[in-house]
Amino acid sequence: MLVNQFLIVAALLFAMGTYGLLVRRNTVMILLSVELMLNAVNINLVAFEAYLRTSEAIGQVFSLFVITIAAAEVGIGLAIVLMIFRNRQSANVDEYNLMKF
Amino acid sequence: MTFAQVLTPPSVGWIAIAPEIVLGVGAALILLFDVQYKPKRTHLGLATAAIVATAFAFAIVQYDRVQTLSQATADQAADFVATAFPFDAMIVLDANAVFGRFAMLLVTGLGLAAGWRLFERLGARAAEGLALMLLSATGFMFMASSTHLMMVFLGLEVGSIALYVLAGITRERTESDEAAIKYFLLGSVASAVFIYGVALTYAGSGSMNLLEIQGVLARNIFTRPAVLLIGIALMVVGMGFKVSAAPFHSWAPDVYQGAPGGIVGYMAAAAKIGGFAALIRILFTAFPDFISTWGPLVAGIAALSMLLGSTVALVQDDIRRMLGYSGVAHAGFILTGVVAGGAGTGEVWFYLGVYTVQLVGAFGVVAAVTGAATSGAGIDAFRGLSKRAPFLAATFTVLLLGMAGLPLTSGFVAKFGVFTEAWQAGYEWLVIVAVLASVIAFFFYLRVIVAMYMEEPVDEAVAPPGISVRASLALASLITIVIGIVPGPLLSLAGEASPL
Amino acid sequence: MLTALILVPAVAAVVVMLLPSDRKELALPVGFALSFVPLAIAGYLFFEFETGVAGYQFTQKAVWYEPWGISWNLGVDGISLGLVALSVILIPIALAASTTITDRTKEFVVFTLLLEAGLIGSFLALDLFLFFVFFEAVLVPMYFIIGIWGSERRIYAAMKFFIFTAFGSAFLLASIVALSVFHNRQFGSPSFDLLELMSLDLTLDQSRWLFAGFGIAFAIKVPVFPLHTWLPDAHVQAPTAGSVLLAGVMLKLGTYGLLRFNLNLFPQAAVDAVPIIAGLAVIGIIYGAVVAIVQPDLKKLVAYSSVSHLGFIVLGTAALTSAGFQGAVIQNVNHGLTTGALFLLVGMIYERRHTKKIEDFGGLAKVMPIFAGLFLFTAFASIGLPGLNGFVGEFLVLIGSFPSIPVFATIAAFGVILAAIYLLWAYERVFTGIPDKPENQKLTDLNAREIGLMVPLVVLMLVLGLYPKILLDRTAASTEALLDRVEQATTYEVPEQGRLADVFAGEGDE
Repeated sequence: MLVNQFLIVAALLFAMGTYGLLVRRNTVMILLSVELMLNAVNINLVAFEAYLRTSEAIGQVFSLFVITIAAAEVGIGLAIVLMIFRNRQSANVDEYNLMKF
Repeated sequence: MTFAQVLTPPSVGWIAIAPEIVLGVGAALILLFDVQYKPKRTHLGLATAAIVATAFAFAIVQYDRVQTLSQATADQAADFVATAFPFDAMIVLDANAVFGRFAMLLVTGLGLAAGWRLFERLGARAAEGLALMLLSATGFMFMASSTHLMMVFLGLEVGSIALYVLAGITRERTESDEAAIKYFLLGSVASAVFIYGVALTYAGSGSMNLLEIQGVLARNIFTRPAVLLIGIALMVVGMGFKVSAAPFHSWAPDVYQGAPGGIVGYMAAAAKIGGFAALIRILFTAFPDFISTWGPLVAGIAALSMLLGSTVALVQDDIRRMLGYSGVAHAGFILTGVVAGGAGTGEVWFYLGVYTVQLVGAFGVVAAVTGAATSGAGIDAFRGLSKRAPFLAATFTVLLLGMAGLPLTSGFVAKFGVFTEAWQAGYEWLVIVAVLASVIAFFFYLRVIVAMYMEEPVDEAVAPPGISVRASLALASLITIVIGIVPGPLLSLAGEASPL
Repeated sequence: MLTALILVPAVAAVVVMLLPSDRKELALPVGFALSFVPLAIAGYLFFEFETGVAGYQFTQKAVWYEPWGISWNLGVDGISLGLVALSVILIPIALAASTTITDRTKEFVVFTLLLEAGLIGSFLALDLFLFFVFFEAVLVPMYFIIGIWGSERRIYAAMKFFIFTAFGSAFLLASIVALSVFHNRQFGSPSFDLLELMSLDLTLDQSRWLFAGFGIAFAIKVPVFPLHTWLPDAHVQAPTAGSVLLAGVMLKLGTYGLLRFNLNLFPQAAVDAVPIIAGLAVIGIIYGAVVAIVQPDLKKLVAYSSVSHLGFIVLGTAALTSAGFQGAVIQNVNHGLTTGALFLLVGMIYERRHTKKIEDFGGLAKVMPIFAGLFLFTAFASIGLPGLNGFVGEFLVLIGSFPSIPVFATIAAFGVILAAIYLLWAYERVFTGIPDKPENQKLTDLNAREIGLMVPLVVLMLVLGLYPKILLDRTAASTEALLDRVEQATTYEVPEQGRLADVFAGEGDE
């Protein structure tokens, strides 16, 4: 089995996530971009596991953990965004400028 | 794979994770008790302190166990493996892990005492704050004590997610929630980068267990060098975020400035300990033979951190921001020891231990002067502090001089140690950069001392700090001075702490 | 014994710190009384010191941290003995001169005593790590003394002082780290012991770089010419006691370090660097003197005269002859006494008139005859009038450097003449003539305390001027040993002494 196609998909997803992270202005969209990056990792892990076939199936297991943790992160992230929205009526990252160099 | 193999129960060594269990269960109990009985906040605080103390006691038991293990003979090998690598070698019980726990628990205790006024202010949310603090300590301790990249990642997330929430726990303050979102966004990106590196390392070596990776790499000429090298680099970058090394530091000043004053010292120190513990573990255990590859990368990050942190700290008018950038510089100093490889472990741990104590103490003073639930601490608030609050000014001076690395403080011994190791490893240029950066750093530490001792006081009176704050600050400055004069015991203790 | 010498001032500082804060008038007397204990110990050492023995005496060694090879390693020889004595003499005087300090007296006394411990520690340390600890630790008390109790621009001056010195220390630290690593590579264990490090086998390149690292640190401390700019600021802004200790003892850390470490550890590099060091020293001598002539401020004048006088000490070090070393060592002590005394005198007049401008004075000899007499005496000692201490040191330096570096020695000799010009001209403008300004007519002469401060210094200037043997005997063996070390490790040969030197050395030996 070739893993290259999976790796390319994953790398593209990761790159898209990074791009979204840098250009998006809405915090929720940025959160989604981070999710994209995590899922790119998941694809990688599963593909490598299928390729390597280790006895513990650690790649599959890890991807489950990553999914769980991503859910936890989104939970916390949305809570923080809500809190900010309540304080400022906006979720635009450009306005997080109280503290600057 | 036969059925019997699948059913083989994992080897269990409760003692290896006893401190983590104590903290985790303690956090749950605190939340439950708070819901059920609404105890007084003082009682909650004492209970938290007791939990930390219990965990510390278990860590001492572990230290004793590690001592015994280190003398294990060949015929006790099976016993050794069962005790030292329980849970199918997901966890390791070695001096490195134990020292990490010591540092982490000391910082937790000090941070709790120094920031106690914050928890009083939090009112009904005090229990949540305390539980989060314990949980984050649990996570970072796992980072120090696991030999499996998955466990490292889990520990990292448990610790970090708790810290994101702590950063925004005074939710009415806009600076505080801004700090939380910045920390959260950059932190989760760092996690994603880190696990991308984990995945690539897995692809390159076929394992996530650091000891197995080392074995595989030692036995074979590795098959996918590029993949493996990118994996190492990405993991270093991910950890660089956590320890706020330049150029991945941009969150640190904002978080240090915006997060509630009482907790920020703990947050900064805990993230540094966790990040460096994992970095030491990954680089020294799994990739000792690749030191010629990752050494220059780490050295470059170190040099950039020291220079950038020191110079940018010069122009800060907010003490917390200044400490944030000085934290970047200190990450660079510690990385200076990391480039020496396994030989420098003791010096790196020593530096981490003494620096994080100074950090918690310094933020304790800042919180006592400008408020435990507020954001920011302009240097104006410190003018003439020696007349208004001599105790706070004196302890702050000791801690700042310790961070600056003046002789007769622990900071000097720490700096000297990492410089010697780096020079020994052949990084002469890095040592020159480091000594110059530490001279630049004198400027901004001295600026605070000038403000406290040589300028006219502002009118604001400083509320006298509570007993717990006073005790923790006195302890932090005492450690700074005593370790500076008698560094031997701690140096030997840290010197034992090389990972298995 | 030596440990006690370091610990007693430190303990005294703790004692003063623990005095009840509502009795702060006690701090100064208690500190003053306690500062006599180190004086007594050092006095005992001075007379128990065996003359004619080259090695370190009263050595003490205790392991500090074995794996790093650092130890609490103390010893005294002829080069450091005089400096230790100077420190313990100047500290009580500096404390007694500080009765005008009313703000935070206790802290002032604590810092002064800590400074004493640090200074003595630096002079006694035979372990480079220990030396660096003390060398750097003295910065903090002096920083606070200048920064808290100085005059208007004190913060700027304190900062400049600290950063300059810390900058130099950075190079020193890197060099010390390098030395220990080299020792580790050659002998299998790191070491900071001066005697062990002397047996290191360094390539010429290594020893040149390390020489430069040590050299920059000490050159800033001395200060040698282009690195001197912190000194006038620090002196002018510092309180009297700060100036006395800064000029009297602290600057000597630089000249001492050059003699002790640069020459011992890197002899070949030192021989090669003679033209550079001697050149900078001579520039410092002439430049300091010329700038001192045109100074309108009395304290600045004394500060620049320090640059000039310390140039002589560096020149004597660079001469690499027996007489040159002797001169450098004894001039260390002499300069501490005379410049200390001059700063005290300037401080006394400043307390009365609150100005240091020369043009504000005139004809003071009429209203303050004792003050004028003491000033003239000290000025003569500083110029180097035969029979007073300054003469012995500068003369030895000049005859010592003439055989090896004649051009530099000749130019440096003009420095003596320039010294006469700036000091005597300043005397003329301040003391002679008619006191025509009304403020000056009302001035009171020195009181008993102030005379008491000056008496020990004046006596010592006379003793060292008339009977320098008391010090030269104790330094001779050590300077000879240092010269032997340089000769053996390099191809350098000590030139024949001139006849003049024979005559002088003959006198000293009797």
